[in-house]
Amino acid sequence: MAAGESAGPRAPDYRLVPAASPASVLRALPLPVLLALFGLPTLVGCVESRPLPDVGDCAVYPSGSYEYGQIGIGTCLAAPADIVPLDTDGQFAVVNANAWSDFTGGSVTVVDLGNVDTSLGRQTMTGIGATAVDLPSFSGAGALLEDGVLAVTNRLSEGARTREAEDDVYFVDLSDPAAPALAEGLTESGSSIGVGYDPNAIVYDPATHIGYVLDRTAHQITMLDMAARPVAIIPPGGDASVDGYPFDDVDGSGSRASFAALENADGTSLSPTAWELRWEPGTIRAWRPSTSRSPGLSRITGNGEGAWTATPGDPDVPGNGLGDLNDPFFFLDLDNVPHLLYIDDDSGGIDVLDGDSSMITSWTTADPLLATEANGSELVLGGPTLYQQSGLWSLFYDAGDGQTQFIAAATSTDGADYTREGAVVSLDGASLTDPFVLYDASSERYRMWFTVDDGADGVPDGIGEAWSDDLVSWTMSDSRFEPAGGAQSPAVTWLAGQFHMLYTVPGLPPIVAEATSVDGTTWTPKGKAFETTGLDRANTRVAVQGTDESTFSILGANDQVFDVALTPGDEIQNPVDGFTLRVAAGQRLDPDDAGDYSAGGVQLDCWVGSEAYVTLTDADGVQSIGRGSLVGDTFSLETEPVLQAPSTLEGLSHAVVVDEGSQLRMYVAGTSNGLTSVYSATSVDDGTVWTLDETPVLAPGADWESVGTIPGSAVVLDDGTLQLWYTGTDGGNPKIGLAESTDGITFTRVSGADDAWMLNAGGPGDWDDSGVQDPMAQVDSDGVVHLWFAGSDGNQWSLGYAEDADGLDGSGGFQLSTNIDEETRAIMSPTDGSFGVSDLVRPVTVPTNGGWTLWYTGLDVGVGRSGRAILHEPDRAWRDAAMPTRADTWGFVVQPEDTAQAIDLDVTVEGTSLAPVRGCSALARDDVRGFLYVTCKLLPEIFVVDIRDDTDTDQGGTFVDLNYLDVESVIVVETSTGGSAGPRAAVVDNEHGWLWTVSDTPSSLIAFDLSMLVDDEDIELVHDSIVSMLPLPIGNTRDEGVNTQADVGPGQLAMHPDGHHLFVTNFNDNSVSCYDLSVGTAGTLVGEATEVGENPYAIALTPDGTRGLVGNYSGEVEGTATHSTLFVLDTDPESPTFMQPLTWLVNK
Amino acid sequence: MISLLLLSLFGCTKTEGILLHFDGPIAAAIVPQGSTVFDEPVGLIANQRSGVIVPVDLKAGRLLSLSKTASFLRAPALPTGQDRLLGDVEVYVDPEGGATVWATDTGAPSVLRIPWYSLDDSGEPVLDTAAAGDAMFVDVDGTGDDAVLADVVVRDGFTTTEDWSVSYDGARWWAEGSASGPQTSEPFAGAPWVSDHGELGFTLSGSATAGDRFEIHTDTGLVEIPSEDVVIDLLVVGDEVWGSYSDATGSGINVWDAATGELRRTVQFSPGTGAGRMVLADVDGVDTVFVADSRLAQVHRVDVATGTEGDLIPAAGAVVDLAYSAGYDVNGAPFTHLFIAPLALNRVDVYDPVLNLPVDPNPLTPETDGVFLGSPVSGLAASIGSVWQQKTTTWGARPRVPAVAVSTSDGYVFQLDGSTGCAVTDLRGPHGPNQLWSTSDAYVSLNDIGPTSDSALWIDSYSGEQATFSNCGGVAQTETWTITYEAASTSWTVEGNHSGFQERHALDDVRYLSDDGAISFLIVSGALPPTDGDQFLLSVDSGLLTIKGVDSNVDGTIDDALVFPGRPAAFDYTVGPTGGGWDETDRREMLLLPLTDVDKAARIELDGGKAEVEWQ
Repeated sequence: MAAGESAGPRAPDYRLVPAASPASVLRALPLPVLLALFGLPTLVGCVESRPLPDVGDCAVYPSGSYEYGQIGIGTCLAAPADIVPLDTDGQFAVVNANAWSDFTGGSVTVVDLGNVDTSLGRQTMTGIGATAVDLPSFSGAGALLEDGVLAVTNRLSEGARTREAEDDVYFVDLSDPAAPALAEGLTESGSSIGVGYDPNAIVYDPATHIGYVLDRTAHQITMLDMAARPVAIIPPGGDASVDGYPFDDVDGSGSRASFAALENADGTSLSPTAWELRWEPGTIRAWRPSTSRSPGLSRITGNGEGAWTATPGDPDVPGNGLGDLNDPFFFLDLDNVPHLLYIDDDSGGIDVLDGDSSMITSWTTADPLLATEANGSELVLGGPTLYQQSGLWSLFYDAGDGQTQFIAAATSTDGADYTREGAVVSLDGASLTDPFVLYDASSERYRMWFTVDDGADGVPDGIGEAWSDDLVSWTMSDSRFEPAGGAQSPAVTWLAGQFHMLYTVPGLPPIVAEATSVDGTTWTPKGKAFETTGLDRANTRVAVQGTDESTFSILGANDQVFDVALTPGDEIQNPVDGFTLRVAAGQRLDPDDAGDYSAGGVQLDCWVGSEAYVTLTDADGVQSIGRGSLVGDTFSLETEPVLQAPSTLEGLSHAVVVDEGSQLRMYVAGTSNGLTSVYSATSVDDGTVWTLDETPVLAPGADWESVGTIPGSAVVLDDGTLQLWYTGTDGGNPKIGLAESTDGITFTRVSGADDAWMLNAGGPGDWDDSGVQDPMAQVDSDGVVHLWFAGSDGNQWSLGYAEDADGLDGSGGFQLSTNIDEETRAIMSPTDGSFGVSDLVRPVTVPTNGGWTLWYTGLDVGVGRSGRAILHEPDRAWRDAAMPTRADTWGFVVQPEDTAQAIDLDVTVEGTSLAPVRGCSALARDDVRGFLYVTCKLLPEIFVVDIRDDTDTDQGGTFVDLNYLDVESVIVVETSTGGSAGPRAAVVDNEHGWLWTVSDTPSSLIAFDLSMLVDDEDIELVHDSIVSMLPLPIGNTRDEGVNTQADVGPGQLAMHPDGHHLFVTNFNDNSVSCYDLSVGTAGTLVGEATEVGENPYAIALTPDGTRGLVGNYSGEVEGTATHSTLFVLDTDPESPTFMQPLTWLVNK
Repeated sequence: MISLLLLSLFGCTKTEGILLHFDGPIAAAIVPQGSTVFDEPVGLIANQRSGVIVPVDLKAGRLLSLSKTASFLRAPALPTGQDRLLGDVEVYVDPEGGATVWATDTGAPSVLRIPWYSLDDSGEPVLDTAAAGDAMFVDVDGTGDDAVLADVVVRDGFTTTEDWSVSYDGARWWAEGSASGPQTSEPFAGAPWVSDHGELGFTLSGSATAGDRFEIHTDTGLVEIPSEDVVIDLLVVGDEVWGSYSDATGSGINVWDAATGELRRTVQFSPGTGAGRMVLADVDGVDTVFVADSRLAQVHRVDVATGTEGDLIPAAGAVVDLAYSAGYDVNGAPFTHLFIAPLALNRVDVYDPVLNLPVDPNPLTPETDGVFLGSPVSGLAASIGSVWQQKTTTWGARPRVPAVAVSTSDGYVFQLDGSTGCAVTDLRGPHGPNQLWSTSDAYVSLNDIGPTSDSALWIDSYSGEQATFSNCGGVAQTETWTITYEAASTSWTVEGNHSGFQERHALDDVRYLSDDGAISFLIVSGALPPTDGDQFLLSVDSGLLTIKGVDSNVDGTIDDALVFPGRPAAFDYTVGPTGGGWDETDRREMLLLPLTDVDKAARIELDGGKAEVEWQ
């Protein structure tokens, strides 16, 4: 009987081995072992001359003389790095790293516990009939796939660390454990596939057939499609893209917005990010008089949409010692210093408080601005309002005897000393009070609103209005704002494309109500804004301040706010976050409305009754004619064109439709062979089906219109003559022409006042000096011809207005609108803040009661959108923009180009780059949560990788799982040694919902609460998630048995199938611990196998949990040689020999 | 009264296998003060992995010595066997003056009753010593072998009660102790042999054949009381020792006679429960044992006199540990509080067992919850008396109140005010950037996003702070607060990276108080209103009095961290006058804290808020 096979006591032979000398230890653990698992610095080993090595009869020896490193591994054990159970009967695959290079390579050895006699103290690998297949050295871990194939990571360490060696995953066919072999035909090269540097751990998900390989040195996780043939790497990312969500008018307010530009801007290093665009119409501050018992002004803040938040507590502007502060007016001077004007309760004069330039709650009394006139007409003053131009202050207020007031003015060149200018607005028989002055950029006029009271019933009659071009001469309008309940004491600000008025509803105490208006004339009451409390007078004016900054906020991942407020029309180029963005807002017709037909833009051309005809431009620039109508206040466009160009024409545009009674006739521009002509089409079914006559009715003619004639508008005169206003062009500066027809088909050109055209471009320097086009003509009952048109200054197109009071009789010609300096002016120009930032073209007017509705098309880099404006006078226009509201939802997703072949663990979290990833050592798959956990021995962090796409948009949800196949969270390991080390291994404890890990600083089992992980679109740092810690034996500070110099505390983890017995190998302590997680608060040590051999590391349990197979990395040290061993551990908690080694498996 | 005992050592020459003092120190017990033997406090530390219980001199800060003239001669430890996995330890001093140590073995499982010392007729303490029985040779095959096992040596402090087997396999002798396990040291015929850790020595001679063996029993008086279930915790209650246990179906308490080891009774809890750690309390004159339930969110209470279970006390989760603190608060009002550490919540809650009501340290929150400590609680211990506080009152006085010490897994010891449950703070308390304290502190200014704004975070010129904090220590955590203007609500959202998003929003010019009252500040509006996304980032330090380790060279840095502290045990002692006799005798409130992972134990001075001594 061989010595090693004799029956004997339980203790193994290795206990008799004396401690190795330091030199032998270095031999026993030369360079590779130290590098292979534990990342130690390179050591220089000693080489001794000695007899031929004897590593056991499991090896394959070469003939003749040989050295370590020249021996075939056969079925020997050599630094087992991983053990994988193969079946339910106790077969295990042991991955041998050959870390000491004793052999020519590593291997996968199959151990069948069915062949192991546990009554024996030790048995050789040969004796148990182990089988094996050779692999290169430095294998890491294994994962069992279907059909008995084991995937094994290789080149863990050494060459891989320096990125010089091949790094592969090998596939071993273990379908016949008695004859293991390299799998053939699984990969392009046969049985292996290259992955990232230093592949270490590997796990396999049978549900998805994906293998996840942890590349330690590359700091990545390579995904392998194990079902593919050949097995292929799955790139986690894709091409760069930026995809916008459709704008959603959630509250049905009719608001519109769309992306004018949305492009990817590099960002290859970015993570996918969802960005939300949130409309911020700005903020209104109001100061209202406080109670008489606590005089002063208290502030309240509005969001521009009717929500007001009061600032509680004492008055924001204390009136102590000042008495009541009546009729306050907030004024921010050109130096951004705030002032509050008010009527002094005692003196009756106009006083002022100056605010601190940075802290508005601090106010100081300044010299009074204006006193009452004891002997003059201004005995009683009220409602001060101030307007500052450069070098001139204009103060308006109401003055009079207290019974009848008028609006007076005073001016100052220094803001301090004012000179009375007398009455500027008055009304016989009425008292005008509380003026409020604002400059109106739309009409280019100063506007004034004030209280009108005829004194008849003691109740103010409403709010009147006046306007001025120069702040000196004022014209009073007939319009009144007279809502139910009354209105007085207006305070107006401009916000989000609208006028906002706060006015007082008389009462005791009075209520402050809110109204909005597009034009400052027609007001829509919005109801009560807020109350005043404790006032003992029925009227008060409030002071207001508006931010006048209506923008989109751009909110990204992790509540990130992109530090640029996005104004519609402005372009944001943000390469850092990977997008270029420009939006349009407020339009009524959008390129999205007709799908592909209008992807290149829309243009409203004309109205016939309640239906509008539009030019649709597709993405290729091909134009067709569409139709739509207003539904309520929202434009609805048919998704199919009503008229498309025949093959002889390149497209159709600029529709002008005339109702001929029995049929509709449409004039459209069509282009053929480079010439654009006016064509005619007819419809006899109210515009649904059109028949195009492919013969032009107005072809290019004289030089000025030699290249194109484009219909603009039509006027049917009383005698039935049809006037077709059109644009004529020679390819350069367009002009406006006119042609007449009595049958609608045959046209005769009409000569204008100057020449053949009716309207030419303006003079040099004028706003329209480079051309005019798109005539929109109307002839009123007085024969006055109103002509709206588009004019260009060479840079942009604007809308203008001209009229011929003589009715085209040639006597006077068209007179263009002028400004106060008698210079011609446009009535609307492109501007940021809405849509149409490049050009405004194609005016289309529809008469209304008291004015016109103007439809126009705004171009943004050639893409048209149509909107609406209001005209009370033909040359004063206010945009009636369908601006967004806060309730609207909108956004876009940036998907940066991802050329990576693996999931990168070097991530930035919450704006902070984490410490460089080092020493990642293990993977744990969490099927419940769809995560993969990555532990890193040298990093106090655990990476949580999302490996399940939980996007639910196809199920009606809104969640987009942007972190799929990316880092979802980073768990911060916060221990007393935090900052230096992290866990080595991990296992999911689904009974508690915890992740158990092992760490050696401190040497412990640490549990993390997985309920704190959120599967969202952001990457978060997760703090305070440690919920339990259990002590383990010595960490890397002490080495039991032979000093192997390897700094490893606890090694691997194995969870018993019962779900609560957790086994830990203690590398340096030469022991295996078992904690019962169901005993005690979080677990109690219930068993420990000690002195089991040198450096137990790998561990696996049989599926029934009765036996464990543990690999001793060093095993037995014999002189200068180290022989790895395995031992069978009783892991059955019910067994009397629980946690006792049952036998050892050795090489010799 | 003598305080020392002489130790007689064997003349053993064994050098290998000397035990470390500590190998996985897992639990500590304090010898009841006022006992008849020791003038000064003595502690016992149970080592989970070596099975040795080590006595330590708590005042002198060294291992217990029984020699006045040779203090380096340490008192023998109490070995229980290398193969045991010790859990808890307690010591019982009987009225006659003798002492018995009790410990749990979680691996066996069992409870160990270990005689320590008794008093002789003159009242002097005598250590119980080890003895060995006769070695019995078992000639298995009856061949008449003449093997002899002679010169048997046992050693106090090394030998424990167990059965040894010395077997011959035909080539070698193997030794194994029933408690010490298989020995790696191999007996050879003719040479003195000593076990791996010095438990047994002998010399073999003569011949044997395979299978022959010697059997020998060693005895220190240790008695192993087998248990079907793992006993989690021990507690001395009068002349009884209570041990909590739990199994798959339920749990309860075994009550043994402390003097004899007889099982007196069992208190059985309901199925599904998990009796855990215990604490003894005098609740309104009734001796009560509170028992943590390690499985269910509750605490059991058992009337000591009757052994009956009273009403359950609800908890926020399964309970890690308990402490009972009673005394008078700073205003002189009496209190009786049970401190409860719920599992996985990393905090300590307070309950009034007299009123049967939870105590809310922070009434500003709608919930009744405790102080969050950021790491799993390892153990609790109530101070013996009152502890000086670091932070002074507004009158400049340092109050003194009973405290509950909390050790946490991340290596800290905190103190909770026994009367309020609030954490004790350091001299400065919770704070943010403050240039009055440090010129390097930067004031927090507005991160102005988008359109220009000029709001500011108001600075209290007196304190230098831009925020004020809850007076209840621990409510304000060490974290960064993010205050962001939200235009939609015209208010500021407030979020702490630990405290989370606050329901309350902040308004301009209105003092803000976070949901739990942790932080208060005032945002002062400027001439230019805030716009969406404007932000303040305010870093806050909780200012908690945290004991992190020993500063050996008093240079302000921790030289030895409290790595993985276990459950603390409280004691106190008095120190004599100093300052030339002008100072009063001072009583010091202390903790004995095992540090399981680094094989050390630390002495914590609660009054000074520092760790000052380490045993290793």
